[in-house]
Formats: sequence, C-alpha cells, structure tokens
Amino acid sequence: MNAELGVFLLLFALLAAIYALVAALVGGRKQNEALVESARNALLITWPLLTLASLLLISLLVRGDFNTEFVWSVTDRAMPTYLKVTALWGGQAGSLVFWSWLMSTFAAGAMLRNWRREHDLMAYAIAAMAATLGFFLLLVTFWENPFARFWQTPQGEIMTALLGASDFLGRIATWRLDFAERLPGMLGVIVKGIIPLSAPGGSFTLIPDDGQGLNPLLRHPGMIIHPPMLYLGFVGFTVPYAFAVAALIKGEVSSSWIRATRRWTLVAWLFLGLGLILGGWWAYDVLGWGGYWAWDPVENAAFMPWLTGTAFLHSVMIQEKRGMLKRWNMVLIILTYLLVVLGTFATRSGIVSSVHSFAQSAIGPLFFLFIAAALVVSVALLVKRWDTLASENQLDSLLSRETAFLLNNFLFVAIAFTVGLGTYWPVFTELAADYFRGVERSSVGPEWYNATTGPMFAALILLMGIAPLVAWKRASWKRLGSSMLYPLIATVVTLALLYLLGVRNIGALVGFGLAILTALITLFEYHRAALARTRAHGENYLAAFWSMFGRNRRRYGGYMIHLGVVIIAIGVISSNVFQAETQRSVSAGQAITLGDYILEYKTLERFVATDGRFVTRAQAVVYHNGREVARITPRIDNYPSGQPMSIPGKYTSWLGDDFYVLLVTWEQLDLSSASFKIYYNPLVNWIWGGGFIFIVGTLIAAWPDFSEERVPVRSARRAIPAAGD
Amino acid sequence: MKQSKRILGGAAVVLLVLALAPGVLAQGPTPPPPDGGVTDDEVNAIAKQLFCPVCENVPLDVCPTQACADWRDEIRTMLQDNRSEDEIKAYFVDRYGRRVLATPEASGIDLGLYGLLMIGVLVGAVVLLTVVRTMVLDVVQAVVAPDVDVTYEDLDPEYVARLEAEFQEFTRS
Repeated sequence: MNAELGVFLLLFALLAAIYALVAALVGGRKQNEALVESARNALLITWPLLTLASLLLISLLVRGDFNTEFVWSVTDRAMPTYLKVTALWGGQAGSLVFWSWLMSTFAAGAMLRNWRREHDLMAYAIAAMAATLGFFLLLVTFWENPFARFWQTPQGEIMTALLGASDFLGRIATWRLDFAERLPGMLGVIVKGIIPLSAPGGSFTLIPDDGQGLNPLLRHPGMIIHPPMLYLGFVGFTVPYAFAVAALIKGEVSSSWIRATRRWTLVAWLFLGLGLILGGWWAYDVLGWGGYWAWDPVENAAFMPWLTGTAFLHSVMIQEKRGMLKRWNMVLIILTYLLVVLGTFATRSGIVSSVHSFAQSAIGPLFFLFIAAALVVSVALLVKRWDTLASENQLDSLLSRETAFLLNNFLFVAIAFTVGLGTYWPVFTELAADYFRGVERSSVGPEWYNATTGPMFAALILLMGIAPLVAWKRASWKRLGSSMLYPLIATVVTLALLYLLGVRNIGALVGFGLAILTALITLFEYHRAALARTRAHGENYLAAFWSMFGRNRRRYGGYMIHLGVVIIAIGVISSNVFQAETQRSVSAGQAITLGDYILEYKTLERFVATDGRFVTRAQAVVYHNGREVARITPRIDNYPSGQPMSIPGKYTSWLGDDFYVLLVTWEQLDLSSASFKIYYNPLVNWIWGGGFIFIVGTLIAAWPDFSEERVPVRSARRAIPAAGD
Repeated sequence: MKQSKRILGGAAVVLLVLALAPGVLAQGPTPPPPDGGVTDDEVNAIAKQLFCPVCENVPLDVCPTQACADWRDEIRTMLQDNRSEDEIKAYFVDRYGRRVLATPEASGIDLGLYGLLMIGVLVGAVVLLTVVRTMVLDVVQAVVAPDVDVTYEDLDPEYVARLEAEFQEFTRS
C-alpha cells in the first residue's frame, strides 16, 4: 500500500508540473494574472507532494521493504540505518526522485523570492522551471519509478509493476510490449521501457529475503554527501536559466534578471564546486589508485557546467557594470543549463561507457530528446532577441578589466570545449566504428587532458592575478606594472631558490611561479585595501581588514576564492608532477623504501566486521629519515555483493604530503608475502585545504545583505553606440 | 614601513620555499629487486599507459580483475624478453584495438581529435579577436589620466579614491 501511495504522489506531482507549464505559458501570453498565479500555486504544490514521496521512499529503505525493487537493489539487512537513508541517491530511480525534489524546492524558493521583484518575468520563468521539473517527473513516474514492486506471474516469470495484479491492465501491458516491438529504433526502446502499470491477473507479490546492498564504493562519507552537493549545483543552475529564458521571451534583457538570480547562481556554483572537490576526496580515499581526478567521463560531465558557470559568474559583472556582453551571457547560461542536463544524461544513460548501452535503456533517448528540445527553444529565443542584446557600451581600451574578463570567458569555454571533446570522442569513434570499416573505438586518458588543458589553466591562474589589478574601462601599463612589482620580485626569488634547491621540472616551475605570483598579488591587494582604509578613515589595520570584507563582500570574497583556487593549483601541480610510486611484495619483517620513507611490514590479520565485511588488514610502520613517524593499517574490505576494495593507510606530514599505502588486492596476501603499492603525494592535502578556503570565500561573496530590502532599480538604457557587439 | 615590507616579503619567500621544496625534493631512487628481475614498477610504468580493455577508463596498473593481472604478467614476460615499451604497446593495440591506449595517437581517426581541438581553439580565438575589435572605441586617442610617478608604498591617491568610490557605490546599490 505504501509503495502504491508513492506512485500516486509522483503522478500528481507530474500533473501539477504539466498544469503549471501550460497555465504559465497561456497566462503569460494572454497577460492573465489569475492564470499565472494558478501556475505558481501548481508548481508550489509539487514541493509537498515530492517531499512526501521522498520521505515515503526513505521509510521503505529504512524498513527494508524488499518487495520494492529499488529498495532491494540498494539496501540489505546488514546495512546501518544512516546508509539506508543515503541509499536514496544510491541508485538511478531514487536519485532522480531526489533531483526532482531539489528542483521543486529551488523552484519554490525562486518563485517566492522573486514574485514581486521580477513579476514581469515570473510567468515564463515558472514555465521554464515547470518544464524541467516535468521532464524529470515524467522519467520517474513512467520509466524509473522507485516504487515499482516485484511480482511473480502465474507462468513463474518475475517482473516489476507499479500497481496490483489485474487481468485488464495486465493485458494492456502485454499489448504495449507487442506494439513496442513494431516501432522503429529509439521509439520502440522508449515505449518498451515504460514500467507496467500492473502485473497480469493471478500474479502474487514477491518479497526477497534480503537486498543486494549498496555498492561498497558508495559506503564512504565523501560519497554520501558528494551526490547531493552535485545535484544541488545542477538543479541550482536551472533557476538563472529559467529567468534568462523569461527575459528573452519578454524582451526585457536588462540586468534585472541577473541581479534576481545572482545569489542562486553563486550558490549553485558553490555546491557544484563542493561536489567536485568531495568527489575527488572520495576517489583518493576509496578507489585505491592514489589519485583524486582521473578525467573520467562522469567527472568531466560535472566539471563542464562548472567551467561555463564560472565564466558566466564573471561575465555578468560586465553586464551589470557596463551593460556589455549581454549576448555572451545568454549563451553562457544556456550552455551551462544544457551541460547540466547533458551531464545528468551522460551519467544516467551510460552513453559515455558505451554508446550501445544508450540504445538499450529508455533513459538515454528521452534525455536526448529533452536536450534537443531545450537547445532548439533556447537558440530560437536567442536569435529572436539578438539585436535587442546589443551592448550599451564599448571597450575603451584593450588594457581594461572588460578585456580581461573576455579573455577569462574564452579560456573557460576553451577548457570546457577541450574536456567535452575528450569525453565524447570515444563515443564518436564507437559510433564511427559501427559504420566505417577499419575504424576502432579510441580512449582518451589523463595525459591527453593534462597536456591540452594545462596551458589554459596556467593562463587562467595568471589572469586571476592580473585582472583585479586592471581598472574598468582603461588601465595603464605603468600602474599595472607598479602593482605587480613586489609580488613579481618575490616570485622570481622564490623560483630561483627552488631551482637552486634542485627543482628542475620546467612545467612545475612555471606553474608554481604563476600560482605564487597570483597568491602574492591577491594578498597584497588585501593589504593595500586595508592600508587605504586605515589612512582614509583612521581605523586600525585589523578593523580596516574586517570592514573591508563587510563593505564589499563580492570583491574580497572573490579574492579569497582565487586564493583557494591557487592553493588547490599548487597541490595539484606538486602531487602530479612530483608523485613517486613503487610496488613490491615483501614478507613480514621486511621493508620497502621510497625516497626518504621506509615502510616496514609487520603483520597481517583477518576478521569479519559487524556489517558483514570480510577484512584483511596489514599492520605497518612508516619511517621518515630513519625516524618512526606513524603506524598505519591499509586493508582490503570484501563485501559479499561487491568486488574487494583497497582502503589506504596514510601518513600525512605537517606540510600536507601523503605517504599513501595500499594492499594490492590481486596479489598473494599472507605473512610470507604481501604486495604493497605505495605513493608519495607531495602537498596533496593543499587541495582539500584550498577547497575549504574556496568554500569560505564563496560563502562570503554570496552572503546576503540583511540590512535593507533591495528594490531593483531598472536603470534607463544608455544611448547605444553605432557599432554592434 | 619600507623596511618592514621588505622583511615581510622576505619571510613570505622563505616560507614558500620551505613549504614547496621538501615535498618536491623527496625523490630518492627505489632500490632494484635483489634477483635483478623485472620489477613491479617497470611493469606498472607501461601498464599505466594502457587501459583495461574490459573495464571502462581503468588504467591497467590499478585494475583488480584477473584479466588485467594476466595482462600485466604478459607485460612482465615481454620485458623479460627485452621487448621495448613501444613494442609492448603495439602488441596490445594489435590484439585489443587502439582503445587500450590511454593517450590517443595522432594517427588514423584520432587525428580528428587533435584537429578538432586546434580548430576549436582557433575559431574561439578568432571570435574573441573579432569581438574585441568591434567593441573597441573607434577614436584616435582617448584622454588618459597623466601617469603619476607611483611607488607602491606611496598609496597612489587615485587608487585610494577609486577604492572609496567603489565602496560607496556598493553601499548605494
């Protein structure tokens, strides 16, 4: 009965979203205020419906209702309760419901917050949000419904269906399958993929004794919060997109839609960034290969919208300040939204693993159709308003902050393009291999990405340092030079010292140099601004520093974000370029040397953990320069339902280096011989530290001003110069 | 004030060098195996450049499956037979296709990857330049504020004024 209630909750939410879409479009077109308000209420109603559906699903997960297929697929009796709750996003159907709930939450918040301020745009913003939510609800209602239950037919076949057994509905399901066989290609796959409403008459419910359990890889704190953070980021970007579309439809392309959605954008960007960092941390801790970012297609699918979102966040400053780059900003937010949906599509459809898995599931073709429709509508609107989006001003000088931001946009989009090319190239070659003889599927690995994006990231880091020094409209080379002088001297001296101490890798020296220069410029900017305030207002230095943040959170929060990124960059460069590794088999009492470190293998123990894992754990001692520094316990966890996982033992130095030790799962493991894989990752923990600073900086930049209610002032359009964009 | 800035700057340099140097310099060599045979490290150096033909996007040196263990053993055998790295990679490509190479070669269909990348970046650069050219004011000479002889510690008064103006604008907005 509970699961059936869930089916109806999802169905009603879908109907409400469809109604909201239609009513908003009609109400907006006919300027019918009552209809628009009705659309708003319908979209608001989706939130309690989806909240109830999510809570219901969580209760089924916690109770272990294995009759429900989704519960069976992601939980088992031995799992602790907290993991059963987080299993909501441990499988496809549950994560799509979670996505939908987040979307309805953001939609409700955006509507309530902007109902009066941006009333002109609300009708079409509601339509855009309802369309997105409606699509995901369509998926979870008919194709990936987490409330589908197991049935056994009178013929002994095991199947899933949404409601009870019924002769009539069962015959309809059979007819549908026959019909689907006759449909061509993707259409047949889509129709065939619909979950049957009912099992055939005479079927009875099937309740497995136990579930499959959650994938062992997902039983890690990083993986518990990584998906929600990513989804918050993905979903968050639909709000600025919705308002952008509304602005295009209404022809109101001033900066008010940007101001209305600025914080939503920043929060979405923060969560997406946090999700990426958490994903890296999880990979480092759990996947057992000593790294944190493998340029895996699924990682890239989340990284690309972050890149274009970053470009958008910077670029809108120019539109707010000078009424420029309006077309560019529209392109960026449309691109970010499409990449968000594409990213969800890529990870859900399996297309990046194999183009053939795309064709076997209905999810892939449905996403493809939605992305195509969103692309066509967005481009059509953009073309329609192209002339209206002309800049209100022009570039006064090539050396200006506007130019720096343009260059920044180019670099971010170039990196996103490069990453996209590498991610989907294997898909393209696999397709080509089906049609052209002699063509084989290719792979694109980390070395290619590092070589192609590395120089672009280096240029970005340099720009991060220089752009804040360059004035709006026009700057002078002399002033820029004088602002950079001391940081440049300190950078050159640091690099010279590093070189003399033996750091000879040119790429690393260039990377360090750019990162150090940017960090020092940023710190000096803080110092100069604080000093300016002490002289102008007579405040003491610390008070000036504090009030500086309070008076301009965007700028100084932004500087902190830059600092965080630079620290991450130093960690990435060090741990990539200077990583050392070795693998050896040794018996108990023997040691392995790596650089200044020695690992001494002491003993091995085997036991069964309380959650049913079979654990093989080594005890080892780490020495650095002859002195014992740590006792570590790398281990292998064997879950009944999954492949073995190698969990590292680590020693972290005060500088943030990791001496990282894994037991090799595929080699002999006992006291006479154990195979260890050891990595030395210099400064790797600067990545997590830099990530923390990045998050704090974003929170500062996004912090709302509660002191006054801001009423958007529609500025009069300045005279548009003759030259276009 | 100048003196204290120099001291601060020097301290920053020292701290940076102390932070960066030890980590990147701890690179002593690993001793060879006692029997002079092929080491796991030598096998992994090549396996790292290959992808598991079965598991998607998993490098051969960290893939836990039995099939990958067998392939690593093949690499070891070939190294013991004094086959070169290129010969070993070519062997795997011949048997399993170019998908096993972690870095696509600039040949065959993968030329398209490199070509598209260059074209994409070039097109982007052309678009950027075009946008910048059409956006720059078509004036002969704009009025530029006279260059003040600025030293860092003098706190350029124009900079102070700009900063204050931005604070006030932020407060007003």
